[in-house]
Amino acid sequence: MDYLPVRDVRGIVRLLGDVAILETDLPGKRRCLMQGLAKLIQADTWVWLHFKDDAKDGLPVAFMFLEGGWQSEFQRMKFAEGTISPAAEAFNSAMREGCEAHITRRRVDLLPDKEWFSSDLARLHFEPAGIGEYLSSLYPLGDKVFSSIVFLRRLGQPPFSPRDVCIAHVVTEEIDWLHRQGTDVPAAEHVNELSTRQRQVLFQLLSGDSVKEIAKKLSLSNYTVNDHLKRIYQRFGVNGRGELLAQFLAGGQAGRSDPLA
Amino acid sequence: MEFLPVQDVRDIVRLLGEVAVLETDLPGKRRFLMNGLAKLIRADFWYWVHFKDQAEGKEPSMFMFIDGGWKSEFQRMQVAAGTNSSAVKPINESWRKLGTGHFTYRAAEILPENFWDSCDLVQQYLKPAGIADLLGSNYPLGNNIYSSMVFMRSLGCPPFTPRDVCIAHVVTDEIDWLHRQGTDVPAAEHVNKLTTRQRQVLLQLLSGDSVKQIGKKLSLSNYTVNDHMKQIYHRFGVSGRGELLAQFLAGGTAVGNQG
Repeated sequence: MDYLPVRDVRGIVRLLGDVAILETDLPGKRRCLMQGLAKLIQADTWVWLHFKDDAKDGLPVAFMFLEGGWQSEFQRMKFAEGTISPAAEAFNSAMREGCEAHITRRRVDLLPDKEWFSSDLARLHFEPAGIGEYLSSLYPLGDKVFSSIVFLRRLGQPPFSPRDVCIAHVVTEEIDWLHRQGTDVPAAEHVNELSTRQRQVLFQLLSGDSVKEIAKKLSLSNYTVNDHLKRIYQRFGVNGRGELLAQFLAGGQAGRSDPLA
Repeated sequence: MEFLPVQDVRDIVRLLGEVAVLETDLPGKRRFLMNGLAKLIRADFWYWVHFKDQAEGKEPSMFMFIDGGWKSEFQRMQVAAGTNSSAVKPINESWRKLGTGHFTYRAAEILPENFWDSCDLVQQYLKPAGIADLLGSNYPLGNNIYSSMVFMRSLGCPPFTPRDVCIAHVVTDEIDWLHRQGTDVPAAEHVNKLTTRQRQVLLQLLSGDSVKQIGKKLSLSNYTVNDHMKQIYHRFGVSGRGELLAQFLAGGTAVGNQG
């Protein structure tokens, strides 16, 4: 697209103007911007994470995590499950193909209807959770680390339009601090050293779940979850969840000790 | 205009994104935004005032003043003198005819045909200072008070385009805090009670000029300038320039004590 309706430009300007005088910290501004952006392109849900693309098992390693707009915890779990399962591989590889620069793609740009609706990701994970179309923006931060933003619409909603792609792309591309500032790329190294199970636990931890909740969601005993927690804390050199969160949110500088010392 | 080029949208987003994480106070954000906006529409100079529109025949009284881009103090003085003189009347009259909403316009386009180039404002004030085209945006704050931004281009540059008008209008229309927050609308009442001469002195005071500089610029003796200053301080209930500036910059609540 070469032009955007002035009406949309107004929406973008108003959103950014609001963010500019928000009296909050950077994560707060990020959240406000993402919520507003989702509204602008009529997305029901948004998820934003950083991931590193060189895990031993071929699955991307996600760290730093913000999200909003879920209809239910079930929906959220199905999405998280789906996107870190092998079912997401077709989509992930299509997305990363030639991703040297920042790209923003709709589901239909990556997988044609026929392929998508018969895929495991759609059938087993998205549809049962009432998730329909998605729009994904991948912003490379260097060293195989990506900032990834996904917008979702409920099942039954129309697909995203080229106008939606254009707005999401322009806003996420021109605001570099959205991706970089306050994020701790080196933390990826530690996430990378975790097992797949530990990463699943970390993912839930970062979203604020209790041990009990994590155990239920991952079908593990509380003892096992606690075991994983200890390993994760040890790997990051922290004594508890608060310190761990601080590493992810504040950029990892806050009170870090050498985990391998 | 109904559409803007995506490249322009990118530039606007980048500018506003930078303002969002600027570690400065509101006046600093305003200045940064205005400088960026001027660059976007390739304006060389800009100023921004709040003014109270008076009854017909009387010139509007201005208060709150930030500006940028001037190549020389002469240029700045010429614009201040011109916009405080009767030469600005035809523009104000044409602008009033547009209505009471927020309007952004090229001065030449709201005036009768061929009027702009030959009007007093251009011939006596702008042209001698090397200034040609003028784009204005007046945003109503209620009670006849307007937040007014003016962008200008150097002599020899092409005039502003509909695209420039559109960008300036959209950005200033959607960001309400740009006009309101931290500005002290009641202060207008005080400015309003000043004489024309006192207002000229106030304008210079607010831009940081010394008594000596003001005396020279307005062709007054230092004693006379000091006299005007005393009257102004009295009117605002302050005891010095610092307190006066605080009233204009911080929204007038900083020092209270309005006599």
